[in-house]
Amino acid sequence: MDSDQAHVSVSRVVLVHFCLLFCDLLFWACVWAILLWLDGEGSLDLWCLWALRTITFAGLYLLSTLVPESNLKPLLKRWVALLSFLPPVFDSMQILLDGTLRGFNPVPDPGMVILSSATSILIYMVWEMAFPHGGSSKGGRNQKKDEEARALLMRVIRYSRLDYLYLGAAFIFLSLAALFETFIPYCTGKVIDILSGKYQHSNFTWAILLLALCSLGSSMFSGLRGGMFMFSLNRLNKRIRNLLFQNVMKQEIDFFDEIKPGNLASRLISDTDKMGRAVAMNVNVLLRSMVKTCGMLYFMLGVSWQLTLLTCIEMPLLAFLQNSYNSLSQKTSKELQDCNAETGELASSVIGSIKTVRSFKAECQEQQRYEQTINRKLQVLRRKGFYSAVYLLIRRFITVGLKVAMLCQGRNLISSGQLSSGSLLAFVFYQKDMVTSMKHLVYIYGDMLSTVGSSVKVFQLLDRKPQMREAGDLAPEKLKGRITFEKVTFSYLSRPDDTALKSVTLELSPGKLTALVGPSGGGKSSCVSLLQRFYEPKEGEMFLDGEPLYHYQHQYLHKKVAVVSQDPVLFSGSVRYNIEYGLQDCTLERIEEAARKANAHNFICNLEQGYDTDVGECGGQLSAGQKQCIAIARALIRNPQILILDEATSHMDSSTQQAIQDVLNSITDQTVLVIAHRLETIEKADHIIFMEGGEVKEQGTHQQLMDKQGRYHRLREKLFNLETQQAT
Amino acid sequence: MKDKMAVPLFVLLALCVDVCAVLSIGAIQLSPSFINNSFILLWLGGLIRTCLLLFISFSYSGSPAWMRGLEGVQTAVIHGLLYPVYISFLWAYGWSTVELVWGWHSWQGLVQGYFVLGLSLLIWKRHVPTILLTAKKERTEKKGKASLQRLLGYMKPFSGRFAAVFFFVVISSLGEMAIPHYTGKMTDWIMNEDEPEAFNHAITVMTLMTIMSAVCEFVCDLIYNITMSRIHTSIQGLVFQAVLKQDIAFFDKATTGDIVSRITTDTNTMSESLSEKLSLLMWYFMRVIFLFGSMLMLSTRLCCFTLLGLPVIWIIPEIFGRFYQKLSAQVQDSLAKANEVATETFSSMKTVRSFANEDGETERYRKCLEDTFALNKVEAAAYAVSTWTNSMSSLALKVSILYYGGRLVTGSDVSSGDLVSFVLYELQFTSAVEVLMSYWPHVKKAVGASEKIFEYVDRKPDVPPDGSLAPKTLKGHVQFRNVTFAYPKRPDTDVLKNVSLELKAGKITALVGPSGSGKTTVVSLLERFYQPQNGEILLDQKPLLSYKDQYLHEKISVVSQEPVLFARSVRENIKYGKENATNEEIYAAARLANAHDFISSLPKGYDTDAGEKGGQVSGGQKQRIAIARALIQKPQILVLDDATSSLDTESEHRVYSALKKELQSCTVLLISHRLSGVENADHILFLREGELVEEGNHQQLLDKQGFYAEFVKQQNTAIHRNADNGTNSSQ
Repeated sequence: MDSDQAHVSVSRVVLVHFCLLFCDLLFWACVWAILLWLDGEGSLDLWCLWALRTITFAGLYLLSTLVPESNLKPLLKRWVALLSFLPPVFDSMQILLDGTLRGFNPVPDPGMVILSSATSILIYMVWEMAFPHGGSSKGGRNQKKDEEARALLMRVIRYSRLDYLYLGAAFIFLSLAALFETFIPYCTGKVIDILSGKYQHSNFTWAILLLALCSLGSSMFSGLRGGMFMFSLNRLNKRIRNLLFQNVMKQEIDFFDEIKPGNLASRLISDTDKMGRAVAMNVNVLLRSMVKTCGMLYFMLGVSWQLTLLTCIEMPLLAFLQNSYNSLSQKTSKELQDCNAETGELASSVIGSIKTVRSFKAECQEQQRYEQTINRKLQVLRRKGFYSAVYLLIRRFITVGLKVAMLCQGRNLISSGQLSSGSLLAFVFYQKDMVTSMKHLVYIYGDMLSTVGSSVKVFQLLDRKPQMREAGDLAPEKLKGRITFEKVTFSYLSRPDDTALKSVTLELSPGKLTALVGPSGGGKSSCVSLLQRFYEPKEGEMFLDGEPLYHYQHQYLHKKVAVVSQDPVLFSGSVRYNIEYGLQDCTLERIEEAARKANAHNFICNLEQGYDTDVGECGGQLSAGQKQCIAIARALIRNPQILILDEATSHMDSSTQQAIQDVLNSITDQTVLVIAHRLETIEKADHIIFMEGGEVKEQGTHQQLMDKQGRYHRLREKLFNLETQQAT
Repeated sequence: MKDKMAVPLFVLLALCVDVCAVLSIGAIQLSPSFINNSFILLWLGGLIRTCLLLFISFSYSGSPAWMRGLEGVQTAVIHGLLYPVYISFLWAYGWSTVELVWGWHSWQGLVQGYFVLGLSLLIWKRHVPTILLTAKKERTEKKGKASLQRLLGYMKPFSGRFAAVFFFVVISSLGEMAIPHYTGKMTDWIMNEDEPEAFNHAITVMTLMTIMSAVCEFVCDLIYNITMSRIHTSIQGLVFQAVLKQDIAFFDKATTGDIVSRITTDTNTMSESLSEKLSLLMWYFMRVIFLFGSMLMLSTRLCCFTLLGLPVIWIIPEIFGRFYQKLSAQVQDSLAKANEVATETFSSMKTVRSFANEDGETERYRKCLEDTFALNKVEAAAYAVSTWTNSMSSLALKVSILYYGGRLVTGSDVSSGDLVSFVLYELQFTSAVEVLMSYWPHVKKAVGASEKIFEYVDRKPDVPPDGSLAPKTLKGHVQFRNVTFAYPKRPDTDVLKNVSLELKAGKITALVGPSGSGKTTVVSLLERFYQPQNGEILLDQKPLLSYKDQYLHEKISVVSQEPVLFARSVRENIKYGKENATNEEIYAAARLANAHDFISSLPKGYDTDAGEKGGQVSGGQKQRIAIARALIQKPQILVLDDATSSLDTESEHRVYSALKKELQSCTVLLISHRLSGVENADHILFLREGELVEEGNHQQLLDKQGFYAEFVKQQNTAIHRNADNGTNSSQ
């Protein structure tokens, strides 16, 4: 059904177009009849020709409106315009250029009318094939996309406002360079003309000097143009990267849970660079190619309009071919990029875990997986190679065909005395450069579209607002450290259906040691994350000294609350840097004091370079227990009002653990929260809270919970029974 | 100050003396007595100029040092004898030399001579350092050639294809010559207008040649691209395979990022350079040869003139290009550093926020960007100069050719049509030469990248050869005898010092001690990741090295305190130890590890993705999955290296109870900080600072009142009340 309709549609389209062409020819016949009737008294001048063709356009346009299919109207409009106005445009240009050939005035030549019609058909077909617009709906979609792209491009340009001075200078140099480049083939042609004809030494010297001058100007301004554009690009990149980094720093922790840090960092560098290139580099090449194209077109029309017409036929064909190749090339490039990412990720995963792979003797399995990904890459590479070869072949055919036609026509023109051999040579140079510029234009257009993609990513990051309530500016001089949870309900964004905390109500009293215990997944760590304002509770509220937590100033809150987790993060740098992380003007004595408290001083002194020893990537040079000691030192050095230890001593040996315990027991004016699996360590806590399944099951002192004979008691009894049995 | 003035003064003095000498010789030549002996005077004049220059160089204290050496003598000889040699050659070939004989001492002749001298000095200066460094370069070239031979070795299976590619390249390049040739011919024919048939014939031949050229290029591209793709992927697989075979010490020294970059980025770099750049290099090389031949046939003199100009095109852009490339490398390093800061910050965002150090990290990043920007500014300036010199030199050559060619045309030595052809050829020739010069560094880069790659392929694992022992039944009796070991990274620090210990078959042995005492090292040695410097390790009374590697890893399972999960489903992570395990086996292992319940409650159960490095599950859950992965193998020796540190006491208790019941024939090595597991062990070993200080069972060690007793005492401090209760029970 659809195919039949399409078939009918195609036939109908052709029929309608030829009807309009026939009407145009009828009009020309009327003109001839009128002129014959006037018997030589009447003749057409340029204004009459324009008037007549305008009337023709109006008539044909009215005829085209009679066609019922609405989707054909844009096509017919273009067709009618081309048919009507090509002759007067041609004659106008001939008059402007002082050409001797007139096609349509004073009396229209039948041959010229036929040639004009044939040319119109050819141009129309090539244009429609090279730049299809499709139906109205598709056109609308494309238009919307173009508008979005334009808006994004304007935004990038706005970010470059500070560089307008440099960009302006770059554009000036660009224009001058293009101008001089355009003159070079012209001068070369002049030289050949002088040599071919009668020789005059002064003329020859003058032509050579002119050529040298153009070359000098061209190269100098090209260099200046490139330097200025690159300078602007670098300034823009620096500015946007800083903005981007600052904005990312403001995002909530959920954002970092979702996105991978490598991707984020890559976006900072790669995507901003691509976006910057849109302004500095692509606009550079785009404008340069445009200026060169216009300049060369001017010279080529001056030399010979017939040869220029042949060249103009080549450009749409090459543009169409380039567009097709670009689409395929981008698709295969993306696939290749995915394959590379896949192989890289697989290799990274395997090599990063080589001990596990070797421990399970799984090298063969991993090798096979890798071979599979490589084979997929091979398929993509083959396809890419084939596309490239076919593209080059077709392009060569088009170029050769046009060149042969150009040489044949050139010979005819030279024989008739309308063209000199030097001019033909100049035209050959212009034609080659013209095709190159056209290729650049098409390529840059495609590149700018992909650049828009990068811009979208960058602007998404720039525009993202933190999805948390903004921190207030509360920063009291004296903080007691009383923390209250009131009916707090919370779930992570990545698992919204799994409620981590269910209406939790608890209190941490100042100057007391509170223990949070319970099985894995009970919600203990979630309490800590909420306390640090990494996330927002869905319901309920958290208070610090009676004030909601989000009222406090950000730096103040994190200065007063220090957390040590089970797997602490150390940054690459020295031990000293890690202990004083985030603090300014920290003395070595202060660092050592904190290290002693954390029982870290002794092993730090035993390291190769003491406190200046580099901890390696993520603290890779230290054991897990040593990392925990340094993390505790990092927390203690701040003398926080609220200290939270989330399984902070799980990797330590007993003596170190005991030392830490003594330090904690000696704290009298701070609020301490300890999360632990091991009941031995929390027996002396002032307050014990037992959590399970996101709820507070029991709370009180050790004795109270034991008396209650509840969950805590059962766990405790089990451990006691084990030891009793051992004693027996 | 005086030294700075010396060189210009020397140049000025030399010029004055030389000009005076030439003018004097010219005057003498006009005297009646020498007018018939021009050649004698020509050679005498050359010798005099040489002697004068040498005299000034050696007697004048301010002359440059190099002028007094071999180079100085060489320069003087060239300077003096240039014209005599040239004119003699012309005379020998029968060309007219009258004009030159009488004109070489004119101002124009002098300027030309100086120009040639300067050009020769420039070329000499460029190549002499290369020659002088031959000794050093031989080693580099040997290495480079070795890598190149390796690369060519991978291409040998496809030598037939490459022969075809070469053939098509030759034909394609020949076809390219058609258009410039016939365009020039047309200029002559059109002016003559007496051979219309010749024109049609030329058009036909040109069309056919060009079409043939295009088709050959197509076939050439197709064969080449497909072949190189295959070679690229096979090399990448080979490198990955070689890396997997390396010993663990290799992975300790190199970071994961470096190794992965070597496998992917370096291989891709090499592949791109080989497939694209080498192809283009070959293509343009052929074009250079044929274009040069065509130019030579048209006009020998124009061709020589072009050759004289080429070194200038090469040298000037290369100097600036080298500087520019160095800058680009620095910019890339700077960007990589900024990227590193960003990645580290984003990876640790919770810690950054916890310490409210966003401003500090922003400042740190901003500093990196400022460094990059400073380099970028220099880079922009270098880019401008580089572009200018590149463009200027080629355009200057073109203008010079047109000028000289015009002179030849007026002299009727060359026709205008030939000049047109020559100009068209020269444009392509210069472009091709430029491409060759620019692509050559890329090929060098490929060779450099391949050297790095072959480092991995050639590296022999520092591991003894695999044994062949694989007995049907293994008891699991492990003995360390007088073992001393230091990690390759820190060879001066002995981690284990003369340690002798024993793991009895079917028993639970606990290994305890403070952090850094060498407990985990014992596990690494047992897995044969490293080799001890002294002593030996026995398994069932036989050396560990004599066992088959595959067999050994089937029989030994290790769960570490920070287990690694892969970015695959939970099911696949458990199956990792046994690829052909059934679902029932997976469930059984999970139950044994107390993991079945929580796995079932995950969103997708066993098909839930564990995330990158197990990021989607908690530490305790990760450990239980790792235990399940170890148990599914049904190992004879099970090592738990602090494997339950993230479990709560109840979970830990369940795991240990299950293990004790199910693995009665299994040898278990338990490494822990916690008393609850250690107490029940059959045998306890206490390590301290790399030495075995105590061993025995729980009661024996307590009675000894040594390190273990102290350890237990610390553990028991918190449960003092229980001891009292025990006492009460006894009473």
